[in-house]
Amino acid sequence: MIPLYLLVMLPVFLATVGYFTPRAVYKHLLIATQLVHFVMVTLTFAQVRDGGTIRHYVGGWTGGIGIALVADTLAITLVLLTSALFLLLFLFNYGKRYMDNVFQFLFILLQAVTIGVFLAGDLFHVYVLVELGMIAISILIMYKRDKQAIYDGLLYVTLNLFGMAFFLLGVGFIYKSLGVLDMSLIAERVHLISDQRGLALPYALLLAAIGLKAAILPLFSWLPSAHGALTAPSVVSAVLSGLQVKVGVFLFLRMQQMFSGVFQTAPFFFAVALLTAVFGFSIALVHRDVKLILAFSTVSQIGLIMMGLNAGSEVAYYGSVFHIMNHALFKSLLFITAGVITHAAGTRDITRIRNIAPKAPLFALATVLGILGITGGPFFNGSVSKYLIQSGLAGQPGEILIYLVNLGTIMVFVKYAQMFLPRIAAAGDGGSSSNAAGSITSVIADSQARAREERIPGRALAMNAVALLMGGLCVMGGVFAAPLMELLFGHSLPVSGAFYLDKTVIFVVTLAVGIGLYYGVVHRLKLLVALREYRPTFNVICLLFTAFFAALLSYTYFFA
Amino acid sequence: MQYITAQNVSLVLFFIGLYGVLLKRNIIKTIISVNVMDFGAILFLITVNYVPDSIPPIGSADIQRMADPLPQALMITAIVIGISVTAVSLTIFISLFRKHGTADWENIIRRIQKR
Repeated sequence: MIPLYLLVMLPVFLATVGYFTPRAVYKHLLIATQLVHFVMVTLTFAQVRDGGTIRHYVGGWTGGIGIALVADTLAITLVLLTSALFLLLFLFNYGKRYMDNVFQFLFILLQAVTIGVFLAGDLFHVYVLVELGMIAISILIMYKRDKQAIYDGLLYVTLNLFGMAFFLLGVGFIYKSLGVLDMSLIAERVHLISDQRGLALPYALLLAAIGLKAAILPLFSWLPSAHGALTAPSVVSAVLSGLQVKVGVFLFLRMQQMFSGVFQTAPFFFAVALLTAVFGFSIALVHRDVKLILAFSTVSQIGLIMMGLNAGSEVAYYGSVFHIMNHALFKSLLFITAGVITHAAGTRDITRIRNIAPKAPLFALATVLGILGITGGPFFNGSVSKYLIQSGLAGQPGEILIYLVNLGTIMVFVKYAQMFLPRIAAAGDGGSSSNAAGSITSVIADSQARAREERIPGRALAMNAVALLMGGLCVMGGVFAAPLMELLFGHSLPVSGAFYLDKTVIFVVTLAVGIGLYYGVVHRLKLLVALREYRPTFNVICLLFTAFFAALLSYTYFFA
Repeated sequence: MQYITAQNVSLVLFFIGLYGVLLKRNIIKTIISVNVMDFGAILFLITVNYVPDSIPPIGSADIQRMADPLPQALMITAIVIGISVTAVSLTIFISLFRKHGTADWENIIRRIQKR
């Protein structure tokens, strides 16, 4: 048996020991570490799958005093996902110019922190790890030291520090009323409290901070600027969008488990999630920057996942958890391919990138696979998880809302797929943003010139192989959905030939409607352009956060 | 006087910090306010199970009279984290100030959009 703390500590330990080795050695050391780590996680996964939840108390302190590490099925599944994703991204980044020791160390620190949060068994442990992760992320966002990226980094740090102050106060109230911080003990003791209304305050404090992490409706403003940061390395965007938001969703699940018998806030969060999903794709539709489109599409997908989690049905829950994994896969794929494609095209403006297929054929193929995954194309992983979420809501009005969200996703990616169109004369409202596009082009040209100076062998091979492998995993996740669900959650999925036929028909119809709507209506809508220009200031975001907290508190106190 | 307890003070601190975060546009003031909030929360946790006349939890003198050691152990970690995050945000602020020449959230957004 592998001790759980090794899963968290091994990468950091080896990364620290090897830090002063030369860059070429360090790179290979870390890839080897990632391979070992992946094997260890897989073994632990098998163990949890057979033998049930593993609990480990660091330092031998028990009974809610020591730091508890808990690996249940959900946690270990997400750890497996994290480990696999980081392994792939390290391989993808094999020949990148900015991969110096500092970057790699921070990247691996981020991995350890993410795994630590997934395995954390008590609230304070979560607080510490989230704050630590925040430092690593902010430096990674700003790694290329661009003006805008520094603003994004500062916004990210201050906003999260603000949110985590709420979290810490919530931890204080929990400790005051229950006397423990261990999540399983809290879950036992909340039922012993006579005045359960008094727990509404800590509940709202914790959930508001977690909502900020998960980027749900009024709290998502930090996400696009962090994930879509103009010059953040694309692997960083991939990890932030693919995994880091899921930390928020995972903590949300943990909180709901803890307070399951006390507060029923599912309707509140379902409504918030729906608004998040609709807002996410509406804003993604008006943006023209490739990375921002992907970042806002993440907001919309988080909304979809939260809808499934709050639908109150077991099938929708499994669908959401499966969608967490699928989204991590195809969104990171889309981000890393977007990085290469914008590099090849020399611009990030979607209306100016055209005819991408001959320029980077393998990446174009991988992008198509990713797009089919996220839009829920038949035989792709996205279709299965979306189907599960939807069948959990079958017969309720919510089912139509899932179709609506999926239609929005398809419209966003119809827009995104413009890059495959043959070159046409750039029409329409190009004038207003030519200035911004010009500066972006110069940034890219500059970096291209620098990249040409140092050619690293094996670079193109590693990038192509990883992109195609991730695209392949998207297909495999769909084709082998039934055994995969059985393996991960022990849930048997009813799949037959008719199922795929049915999904294909629905997909084609939605795709047709999506294309029609996008080119017929949305494409010409000038009204939405105002949304693109609007950037809330820090104070406005904090005001929204406080308003969200107040709304959640009053809902919990009076209705739940 | 009976309302001036450590917990009430810590909550007041938290809300003073909140006021600063919501209404001050200066980035330095934002960082200070967030810290005030953080310390409000820390003070709350330290005093959460405080019993008057308890002794520090060191050694094995009189276990019955000892203060609850857990919040103290946790909060020293929280203080260290708070300091490091503040250091990071101040560092970022310095390089931001050098590039944009302003310490105002709104001005910075305007300058970024103008590019």
